[in-house]
Amino acid sequence: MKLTFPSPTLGRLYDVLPSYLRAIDFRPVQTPEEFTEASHLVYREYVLRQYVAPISSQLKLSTYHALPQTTTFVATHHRIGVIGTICLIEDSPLGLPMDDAYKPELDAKRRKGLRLAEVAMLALDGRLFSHGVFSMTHTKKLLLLMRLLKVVLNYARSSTAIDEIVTCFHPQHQLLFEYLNLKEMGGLKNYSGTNGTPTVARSLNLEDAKMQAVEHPAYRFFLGRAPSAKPFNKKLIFTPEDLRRLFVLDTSIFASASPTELAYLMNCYPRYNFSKIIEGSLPSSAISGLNAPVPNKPPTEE
Amino acid sequence: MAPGTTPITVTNQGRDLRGLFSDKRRAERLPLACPIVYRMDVPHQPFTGSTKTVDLSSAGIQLVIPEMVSPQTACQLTITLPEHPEPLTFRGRVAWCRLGKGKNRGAYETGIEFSKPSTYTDPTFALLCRFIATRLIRKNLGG
Repeated sequence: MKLTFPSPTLGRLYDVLPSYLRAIDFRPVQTPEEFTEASHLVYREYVLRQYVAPISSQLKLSTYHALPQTTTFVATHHRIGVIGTICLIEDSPLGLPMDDAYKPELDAKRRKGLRLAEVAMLALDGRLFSHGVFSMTHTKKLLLLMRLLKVVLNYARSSTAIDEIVTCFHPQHQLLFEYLNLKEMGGLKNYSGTNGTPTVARSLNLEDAKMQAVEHPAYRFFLGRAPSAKPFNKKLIFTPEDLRRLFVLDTSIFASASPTELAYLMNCYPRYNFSKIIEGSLPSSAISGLNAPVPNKPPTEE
Repeated sequence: MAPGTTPITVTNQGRDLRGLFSDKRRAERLPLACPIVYRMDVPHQPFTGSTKTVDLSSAGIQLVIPEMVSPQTACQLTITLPEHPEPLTFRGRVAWCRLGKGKNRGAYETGIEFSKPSTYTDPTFALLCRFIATRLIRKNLGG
């Protein structure tokens, strides 16, 4: 049985946590196995809600997950394993997943010089709760969610240069994000990232969020002391073998990636032999053409 | 094996995890005594009254009333939440009603289920949810 220890990210707050939360660790994924478990959880929960169509790999993955600046976080129970997950995708020359629906709105922020990151792939194991449980009014679900969001915010504040977090979600979750005072960002749209289901978008400026901590109980919890980067030092960095297994053998993510995406990925892992990683998934002519220069900034529409 | 077809092995598949949290309720009940004015739409004999709630959740309330009402009786409730001077009005149905015991002897303990809101952003429902979420966070996370 895996032992649990007081969370190093909460300090004395650990003492006021309900006991059921103490058996759960909230942190970045540390192993490829955990990452796979998280991706499968997202897939399973999103298929139920028709956010994704069933696929043979049973993993909800994209090229963004392969980027070293993307971080997947998990809520992992000492006995059960991964019961919740959420992902933070930092902006890059490949943009953000929600550019697909909200590019004009995101570009407006980019032109202001804001460094963006998208919170995505939020999933809690639905088998933990009875059907129809609403996160805002069910203690255990609400606290699980709050704790996941806190680890993301701690990471963003301590280990990145992010100015603003953006996210999009099904309108039925609007109450929660409204309660958390995320600002509206673009209206109702259909989003290909969730199988064409309707979506709305909101954003949170991290500097503005500090002012909310005075009044809003959630932000007093989210933004206590300045967080340490130390708990995030064990974040998973994919090896060449991990990249090949997850994005070539288990799925066809790299095979479907554009030359620009693959070229940028190569830039992110300059010491990795990408020819070996993607061997068998692309024709050799495509592999040899992966040396085109890649822009440093996210693409914006002028 | 062809790329993209490697089978994956994932732990905890197929396990009923609800026992993990030992809580099958849909919504948290807050033990709160909020002033409430109720109207029970009993056919041909509607009646009104005022009292305080025993508990409150996003799904409904419990209160103690002087008369027996049958389950499924429609009702209207006007509740005044702490720190919210404007009362909220809900429609609902009696879920259960039983003779009170102990301090409620002679009266009827009654559970009422709120009618589901018509939209995700029903303002009354939103206010109630915000109130409950704030209470839960303050109680459990010291926020």
